Amino acid sequence: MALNFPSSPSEGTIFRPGSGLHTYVYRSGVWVKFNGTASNYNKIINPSFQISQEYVDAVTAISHGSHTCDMWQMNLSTSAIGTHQRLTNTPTPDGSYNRLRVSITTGDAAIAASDFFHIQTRIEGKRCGDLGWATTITKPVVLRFGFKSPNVGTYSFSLCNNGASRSYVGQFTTAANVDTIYTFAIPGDTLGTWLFNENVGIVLNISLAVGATYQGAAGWQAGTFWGLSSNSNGLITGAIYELFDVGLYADPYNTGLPPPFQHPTYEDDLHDCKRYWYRSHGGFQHGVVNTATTINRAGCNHPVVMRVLPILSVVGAAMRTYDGTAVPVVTSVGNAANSERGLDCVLTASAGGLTVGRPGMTLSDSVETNYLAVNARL
Amino acid sequence: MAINFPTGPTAGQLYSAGGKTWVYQGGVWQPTYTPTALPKNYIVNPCMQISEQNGDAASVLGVTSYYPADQWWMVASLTAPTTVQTYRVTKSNLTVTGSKHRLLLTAGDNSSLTAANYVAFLQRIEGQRMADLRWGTAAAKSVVLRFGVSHDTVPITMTVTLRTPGVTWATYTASYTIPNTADQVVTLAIPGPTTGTWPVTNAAGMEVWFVFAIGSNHAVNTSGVWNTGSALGIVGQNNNLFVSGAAFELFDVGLYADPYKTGLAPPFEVPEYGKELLRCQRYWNKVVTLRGVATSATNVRASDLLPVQMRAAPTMTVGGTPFFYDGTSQPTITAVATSYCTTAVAEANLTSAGGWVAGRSTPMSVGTTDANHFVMSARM
Repeated sequence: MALNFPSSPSEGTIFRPGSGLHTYVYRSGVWVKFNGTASNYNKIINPSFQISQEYVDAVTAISHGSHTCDMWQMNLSTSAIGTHQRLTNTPTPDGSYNRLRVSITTGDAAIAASDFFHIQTRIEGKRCGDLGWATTITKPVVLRFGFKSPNVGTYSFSLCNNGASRSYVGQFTTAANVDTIYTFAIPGDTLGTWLFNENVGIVLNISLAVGATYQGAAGWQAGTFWGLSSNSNGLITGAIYELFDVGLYADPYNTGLPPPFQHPTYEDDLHDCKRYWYRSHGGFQHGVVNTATTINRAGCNHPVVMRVLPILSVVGAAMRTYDGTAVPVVTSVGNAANSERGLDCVLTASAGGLTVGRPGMTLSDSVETNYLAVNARL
Repeated sequence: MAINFPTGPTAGQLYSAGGKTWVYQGGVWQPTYTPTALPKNYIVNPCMQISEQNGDAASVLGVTSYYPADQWWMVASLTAPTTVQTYRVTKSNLTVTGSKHRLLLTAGDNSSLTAANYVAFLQRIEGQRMADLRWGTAAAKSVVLRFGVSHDTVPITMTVTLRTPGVTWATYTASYTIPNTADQVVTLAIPGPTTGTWPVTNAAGMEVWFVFAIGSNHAVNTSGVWNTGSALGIVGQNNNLFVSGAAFELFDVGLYADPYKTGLAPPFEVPEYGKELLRCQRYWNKVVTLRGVATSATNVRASDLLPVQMRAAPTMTVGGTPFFYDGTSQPTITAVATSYCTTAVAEANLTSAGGWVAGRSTPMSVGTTDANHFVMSARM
């Protein structure tokens, strides 16, 4: 079969003669066979749900903004009630052994126009700025994810900018109880404002329910849209959904194909996640006792440079302070001169007994469940 | 050409025709578009560029356990006076991929080998690092193992072995021959094992052995297949110990998932040094800054953040002669009395001969060399 290459191609022009045939790219004055896919770099952090610093595998009640797996949150406005958790040792078709499970314990059979329910991840602008959306170098992307639904249904995904003034909406159809991989070639957005800084760059939503207010058209559009009018209402009592192996890749050569999915190396993924949230165990913080109940300038370096100034909170009821004699338990934490690079705070131990002027530290006591939550989530 | 795809395919099934391969995914046959195994290397410190503990220092002759580079363990079970020596070599003539380090193992004499003896380089790979290979299940993925070797006594036949870390055995042994003294790159396509117990946690998930010499207790007859025993090598493996001074070098090791069974390794890449150092420190690192408070004249409670989150709460031991200063005295630490380490924190009660004033701040000092430190080990 003769191939009818386009005339007057420019550098980088892609030619796909037809299904099942090789793709060609025009480079340096000649057409060369192109066997590639989208770029290997996955914009999604924790794409295989292997990191769950906060809850590990605990079944956790769903609330708006709640996380179980690092970087993944529930976004909802509905009367439905449910739980979410990281599942372990449930291998996916690509071999990952974790996935995110959402269980609807009480459904919402009649969602209101303003109701919605998404599984969401937010990508920092610095991580996806190279896509160049709304610039002259706008790159297409390939999105792939695995999904398992208990029912035959039609659900939506969306990509939105910070503030959701731009939305791309697409749809996928599920079979009942089958692990299915979905792949979408998505053109880069040429309009709107896409942040390239430490704030939200792209929001990815997988929507189980979308009320009429947020139902738009397929493709790019202005406004806040998360689904199509044909979106099923997945908020059915007893329904269990599972999401796994998510990839979002730049596709500068318009291949429309994701690279083979590989779950990230555990330690690299953990390191990436800590930019947004980590546990500062007892033993991290060292300062000086300035009252009988407080240790001031208690600090240390963060394990990574954090996205923004983090917010601190005490988790667990038994993280002890120590001045060489007294060991009162930390009851609250205040940010004193906290930064993206180091933790610097005031620890209050209301039981008191600390001696002013002595060094003050926290103790790990070999326990990892008492800690300061250091939060710079998007 | 009509393509006659199999009927009734299952997810992940492969079909090859006319030099192309398709995979059945998402209910359709899709071309694989992947000419080699996938790029992620499951080996840590594959170019031996990280050697935190020993640098390029040689082991003493006769040592039976030594880390010439991070994650690379030389293990030997030998009968005296048979000895070996190992160290990391930094060479000006680079390997074919451009890395400058390699492991060296030499025979110290020409003694014979008993049935129970063995000498090898071993790397244990953490379970959650290799969980996606799904070994021990029906969906086990094939892998490609590639490595560089050289030997000064040739030709010689040697063995490489993959096996479970010791629960329910599954062992793959393969022989290879080094024909001359030039650097050789060996590439092996290995099917994924559907049997055996392969942990997917933070415990060791797999062992990779590069065998220097083995006695008959550890040898099997068949090369290139999965066996159920705990063998380390094959019958026919040359005994490197016969030749005093025989030198074996290992470099540039890659282990890659090969779900489309290409049998080809991806282009070998030397890892970025900084990232590889962090990966290695998950298993072993030196702590040189702790801060604490004196609780008595002879005891301080001290802690600090570990450089990375470690695989498990590490064991903590004294390296060299670190000391803690309370503003007046700076006695040397003599022991870790009680460790309170977590995966993220180095913390312990530390003992000295005395001199501190209780209640004072006691920061650690190493003097002018990080040879004085605390060893944090979460090795497998």
